[in-house]
Amino acid sequence: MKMFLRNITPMIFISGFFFLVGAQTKSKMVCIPDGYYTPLYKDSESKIKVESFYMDVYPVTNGQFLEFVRENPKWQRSKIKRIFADKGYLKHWLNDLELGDKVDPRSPVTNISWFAAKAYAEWAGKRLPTVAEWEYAASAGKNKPYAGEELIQTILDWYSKRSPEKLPQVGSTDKNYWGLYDMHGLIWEWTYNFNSALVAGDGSLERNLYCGAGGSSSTDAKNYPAFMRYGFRSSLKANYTVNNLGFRCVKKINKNLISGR
Amino acid sequence: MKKYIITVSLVLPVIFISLLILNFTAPDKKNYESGKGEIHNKVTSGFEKEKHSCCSSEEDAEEFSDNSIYQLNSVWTDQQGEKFSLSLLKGKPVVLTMFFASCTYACPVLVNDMKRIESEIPKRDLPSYRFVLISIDPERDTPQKLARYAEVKNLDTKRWTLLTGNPDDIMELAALIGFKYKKNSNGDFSHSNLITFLDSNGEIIHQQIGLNQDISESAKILLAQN
Repeated sequence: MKMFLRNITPMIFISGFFFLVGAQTKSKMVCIPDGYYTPLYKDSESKIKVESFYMDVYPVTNGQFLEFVRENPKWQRSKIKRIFADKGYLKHWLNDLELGDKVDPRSPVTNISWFAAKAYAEWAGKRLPTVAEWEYAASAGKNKPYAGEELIQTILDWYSKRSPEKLPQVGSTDKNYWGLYDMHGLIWEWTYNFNSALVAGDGSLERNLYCGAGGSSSTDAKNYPAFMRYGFRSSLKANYTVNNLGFRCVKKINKNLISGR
Repeated sequence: MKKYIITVSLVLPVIFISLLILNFTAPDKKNYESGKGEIHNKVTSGFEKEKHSCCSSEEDAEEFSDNSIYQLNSVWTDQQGEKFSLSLLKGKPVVLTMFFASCTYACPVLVNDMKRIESEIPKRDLPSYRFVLISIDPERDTPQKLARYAEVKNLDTKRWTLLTGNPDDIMELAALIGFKYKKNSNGDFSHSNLITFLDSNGEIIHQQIGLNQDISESAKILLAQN
């Protein structure tokens, strides 16, 4: 008995330690401090204040998403309701619970719908970033919080490259000023209010289709990547899945709900 | 014996700490739906009599087709302040629009468009249809305000239901039906002008985009449901 107890003590210590380490490395987050985001299309205000929040350092991986569907069977490929994800949902996986040889568990998960991303975030005790949060966090360069044109060129270079057959692992592209990896250059990412992009073309024509569309105008015509993201978001529907569209989560820092949610 | 006590006194705190860690990490990953299911059971409303089966949301979800918006198990509040689940609309064709009561430009026109559609329905068939207005402005659109709105707009609440809910459920429904909206800095909203038609299973059968459109096509589709 004594022997048993003596042997088990360090084991508990060790397993406790690994549990701690495991929980921390699994989805590291960093704090993004308060700041301002300038929307591509403004209404009366040109800047939106973004309250500080925690953001995942990496996009959610296939491996992490597998854990989620294992615990929540209704989000498995064969069980998901069509209204929550189209036919392409997790099509790159071997089956419901196996990634197969061609899929790297450390690569970002893609082919997931907005509903699935949102459900994952809730399961993880987090949520999806708003457009303002995502754009604000993504506007940082390597060494400064607002990268400006240097970043635009980097992104344009990424756009001009062909999508790789197999997505690289998370963390394989640039780390930005806030410590976030892969904000540009790996995948597109879902945002919580992706469906807030209301402007397209001629204001007077839109008046009948959208309420309030007339008063908007672009704030930075040079920011071509921002137009691309804007256009991409507005073309999405919540059950769409795309083979280079994934997500990462954020968590609020004990403050009131972020405005614009 | 001494040694035994020492070992136990060492082991117990370790177990305690491990449990603490477990507690810290595990609840993060609770099944996020269980809570909603409970509320769902508590839903009571004016339509309760029409709701025969009283079961959990999981079972409910099984009753609905893959493309039914009743797969959502969000809980709303109607103009009387009663809890309301969208699935209570099951069995009837539904005309649904998202709006906000203080909207001065588009929403009054949208409501008027819905009333024009309503007027195409033969009087004796009216009880078989439901008209639903869902607010995207829960901060300002309290049940009282919605009730007043129904009164002012002369909406017969026997078939018109005005709902408000929590921002996340509003976003989810909007995303589901393809309704776009954005809160502006002055507190008002930019939004799609969209009327959605559901069949008796809650599947979207038609959407009318824009204001003051010709409603004949929409009315035809709706009438064919009965």
